[in-house]
Amino acid sequence: MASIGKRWFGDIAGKLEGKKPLKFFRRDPLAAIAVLIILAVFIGAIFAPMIAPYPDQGAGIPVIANKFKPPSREFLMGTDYLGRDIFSRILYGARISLAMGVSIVALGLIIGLPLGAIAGYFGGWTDEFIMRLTDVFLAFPPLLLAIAVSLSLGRSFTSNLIAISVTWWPWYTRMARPLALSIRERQYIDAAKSMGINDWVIIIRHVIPNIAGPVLVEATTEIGLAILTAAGLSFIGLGMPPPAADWGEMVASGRLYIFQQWWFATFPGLAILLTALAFNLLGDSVHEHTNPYTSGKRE
Amino acid sequence: MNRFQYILRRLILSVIVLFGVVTITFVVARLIPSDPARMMVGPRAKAEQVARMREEMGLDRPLHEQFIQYVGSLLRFDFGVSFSNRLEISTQLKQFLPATLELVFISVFLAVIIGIPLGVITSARPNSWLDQIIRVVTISGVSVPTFFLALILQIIFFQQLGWLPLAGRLSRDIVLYNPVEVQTGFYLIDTLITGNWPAFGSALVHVILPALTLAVYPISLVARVTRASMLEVLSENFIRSARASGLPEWMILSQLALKNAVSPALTLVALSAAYSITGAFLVETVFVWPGIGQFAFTAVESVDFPVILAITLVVTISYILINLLVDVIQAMLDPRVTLD
Repeated sequence: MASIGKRWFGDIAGKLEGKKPLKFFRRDPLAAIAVLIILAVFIGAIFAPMIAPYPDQGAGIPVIANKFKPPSREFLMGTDYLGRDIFSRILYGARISLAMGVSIVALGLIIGLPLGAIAGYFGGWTDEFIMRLTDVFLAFPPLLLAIAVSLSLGRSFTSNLIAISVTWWPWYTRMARPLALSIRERQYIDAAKSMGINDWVIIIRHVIPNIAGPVLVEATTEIGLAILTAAGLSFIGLGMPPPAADWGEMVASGRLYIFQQWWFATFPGLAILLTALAFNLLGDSVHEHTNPYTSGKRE
Repeated sequence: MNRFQYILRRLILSVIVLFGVVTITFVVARLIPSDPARMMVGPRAKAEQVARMREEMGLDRPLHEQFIQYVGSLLRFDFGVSFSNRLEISTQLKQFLPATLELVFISVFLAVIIGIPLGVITSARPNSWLDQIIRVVTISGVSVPTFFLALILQIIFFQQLGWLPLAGRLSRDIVLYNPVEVQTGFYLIDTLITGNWPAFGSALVHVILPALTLAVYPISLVARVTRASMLEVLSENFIRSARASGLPEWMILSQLALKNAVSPALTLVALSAAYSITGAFLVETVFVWPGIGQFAFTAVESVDFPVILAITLVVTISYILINLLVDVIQAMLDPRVTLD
């Protein structure tokens, strides 16, 4: 379901070029907050073993004696059903969530961007074939196909990554194609062709580097959607196998105790919400900023 | 391209996409699991049982024959039998579908009556404080995990306020004393036509939380899209001349602009109806709502592969058909569509 979200974005086609980031944030404080949250999540994930008060519990070692401790100074967000500090678990979970979100988007780009460049550059039947292929993959609801694929591949990081990326790459093909179409008409491409340079060399050396920027910006803001989709998969029970700290799985197991030990499901849930919100807010700001109907009024 | 050429092209494209979708599910069903026959008979079966099952499932035949057989059975709405209970999947689907559709229809209805006005209001004054607040709310709406929202609503409306039931479709005493006569499978309609008021009330209070949870995502999306498309229309010349001739602003917004801006929002509504079925997956799990999502969830737990694939196919095909229908209707109504 998450991917219809991408439709309200449309093409941003390099309109960001030449705009100063500081000015952008001053005019849009929400975007600045979003960037701060994203930075915090990244720092939390990278330095989890140093920041976490109980690193071994974050990694999954149970301390049954501490079962279901409510939030306190000792356990900031309480403990779970195995007595593990939830704050530490969330920090370790950030590693999985971010790694997953970034990998899904990166794999999507690696597959989708060149295909879009090829479709736009060659046109004709190649174009038709590639674009119909994207239609087919986009017809699948992302979560459902992901469930089917990860059921057959088993529970692992790679399996989830493949399962979600299957429906992720076509968006980048669709974004890259019109950009490649416009690059194709440039004189330097004509010049390269007239010198007898191979089409594939032109695509790799000239087309892809010139269209990568805007697609990359768009893709970065979609890490939030990727994290949400992965969380859904993990909530169903197809995420990382235990004892890994996986936010979706933490909500799923905390759900059974939601009315007595509310903190167990609530904090991981908030972690997913905040992270996704930050990426989506940033994405929205980028679009608002490049939208001629709103950005004009601000300047 | 004239209207009919456009519709013809869309039809052909849809057939190609349908073929592609069936091919991919075939690949996922037959090639990715190392041995579907072993999955069917279970881990403790003897080698000869596996061999017999392989023959029964047609797995010993060449791949292209298997594919033709697969497509043939799909055309007869035959999705095979479930691993776990050996029942026909298509009959089970029919049984679970109405409950899901009930949720989906209500949430789509909410998306239209809440999402579109929100979009119109925010487009009237872009970047005002009201616009900023609604912006944060709607972006939160697309960022909150459905299953987490469901839990939060349960805490608020069931545990804290005690206004709404926790889960299920009907309360237990209704099931015992005023059972619903199932005709359409939509409890709200069934109880209405049979005049079963206690059951109607119970069905209504039970549907509120799941439908609301499911609706938050489409409401937010529709609001954002309506806003974007309104802003585009509002910058056009005919709006400027309407303003110059002194038409009141609310009339410009609700009559002139909305009429021209509503079509992308409606497309999105139709598509989110199909996508809501996936959303229902997570919502139904939390609210123990006996629909397709529940069915799929139990299938995941018992690694019931054919069921998952059948659901994937049904949802995907309905998505393709809704998509086609929306495009055709738009081509009939809006002459601008066929221009590109």
